[in-house]
Amino acid sequence: MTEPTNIKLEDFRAQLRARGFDPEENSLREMHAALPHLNALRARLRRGYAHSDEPAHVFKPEGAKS
Amino acid sequence: MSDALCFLTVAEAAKRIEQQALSPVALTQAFLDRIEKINPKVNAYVTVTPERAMEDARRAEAEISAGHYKGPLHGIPVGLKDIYDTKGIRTTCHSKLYLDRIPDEDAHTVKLLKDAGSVLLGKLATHEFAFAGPAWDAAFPPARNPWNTDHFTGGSSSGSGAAIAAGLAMATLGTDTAGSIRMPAYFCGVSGLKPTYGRVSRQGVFPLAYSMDHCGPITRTAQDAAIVMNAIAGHDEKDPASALVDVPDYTAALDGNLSGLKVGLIRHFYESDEVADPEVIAAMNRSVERLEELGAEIQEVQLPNLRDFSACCQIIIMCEALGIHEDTVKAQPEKYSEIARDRLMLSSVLTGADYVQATRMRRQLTYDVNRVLEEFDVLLTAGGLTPAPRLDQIDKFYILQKPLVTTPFDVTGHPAMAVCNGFFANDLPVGMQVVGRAFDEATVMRVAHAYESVTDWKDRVPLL
Repeated sequence: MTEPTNIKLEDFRAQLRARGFDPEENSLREMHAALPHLNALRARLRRGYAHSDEPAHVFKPEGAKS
Repeated sequence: MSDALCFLTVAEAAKRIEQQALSPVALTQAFLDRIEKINPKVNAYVTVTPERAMEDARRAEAEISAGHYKGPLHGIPVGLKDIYDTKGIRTTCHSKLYLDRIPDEDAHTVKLLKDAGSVLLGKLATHEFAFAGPAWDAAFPPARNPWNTDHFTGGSSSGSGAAIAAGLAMATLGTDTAGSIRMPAYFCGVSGLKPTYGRVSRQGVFPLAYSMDHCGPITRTAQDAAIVMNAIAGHDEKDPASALVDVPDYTAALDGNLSGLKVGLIRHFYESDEVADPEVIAAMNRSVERLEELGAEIQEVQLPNLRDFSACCQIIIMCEALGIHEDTVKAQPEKYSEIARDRLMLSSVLTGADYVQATRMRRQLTYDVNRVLEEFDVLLTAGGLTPAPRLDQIDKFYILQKPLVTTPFDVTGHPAMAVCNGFFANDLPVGMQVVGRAFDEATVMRVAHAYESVTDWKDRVPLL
């Protein structure tokens, strides 16, 4: 995971500001409360994939035969 | 009498129109009258186009009278989710950002419906940008469930589902990225088909998540969905995801015969991964019995946990949606509803690595579903887990908390159809999903049609 699941409110505010967002206080608190749910979803994606496990959509060059 | 016309199926109305026993003008006027009377209760339409509708209806009537009958959509009144571009008619995406947006061109599917002779009644409510709702501070109020107007329609094709259930359109188009066709169909007690990814063009339809957006019909029956699919399915070179795959005659496949059909029942989605309302489970058990009586051979199957599909789906949607809206939500945050704005801001904590992990997982999940479908003709599971909640009891981030049983087949792209299979004790509808192999919508609709032919749920109408 790139962020701890128990990130503090002020750290979360700073994180959003760094990404160009400055939410109202109530929204900030609601998003902060939702973070554990989002992080639970992110945790499910980590499967120790092998290097050869490609994404579902891989760029195909023009003219390639599929 | 005129209200009764509004609850005919497309198939029933088309037969009468072809025989010139039903006038498209009279039919259209019946719908416009009912919309005027009922729409304020359910908010299904955000824009009604009476002049356009009557113009379409008069043209259809003249063509049919002159012997130029085009087929079963000729003279049929339809509505479009307000993210489908309509030439000369505002297309708002249910957003204050686009209140005055009037496209110069029709979406590809809109052109196809027009070519088929349908009558456009207007544009239907959606969650803002098909992403966030229900919202009370968006451009328009949210649609309400015709079975109980205090309750949710599901989304994001909220108006498309409500309009069919309330008798305000004979067929509608919606879009489905996490269940946005099938959830409104489930909550509103109608039929909704999410075709295979790439089967129906997305050109001219506002994107939510490019890699998972599907366009498809919401109708009263599977037979009606097949009629609409005959008009809208097929390759479109302007849609980069459009598939060059032959399109069958979908109505020809509706023979009612399920003898020997192999059905895989994904019971763990609604009995162990998540525990659905007991009435959902009871309805599923009854549906299994009905399908067995029709000759289907049903066997339980095991797929990955529902929460894996849901996680994959929601992360991809959040990342792709932020990619689409990042600049505008930063520049004009006040133009977005609070729920849309907050979901987009929360999406910004996701990383590029999260997105790549989700798409790697997507490949594995798709493989897992394909592997099971090598052994079965279709899969069967619940259409939802609960009755439609009250509109005032929906959490802003509900999509992160409980998995939607519709998400697996947006992730994998397989065709899936929601079909009403009963009613809860509180008179709200319940439904199931039929899922097929890629590009085999025909078998999905064959199963749904056979089930609908031996049950009468589709004949119930809400009192409004």
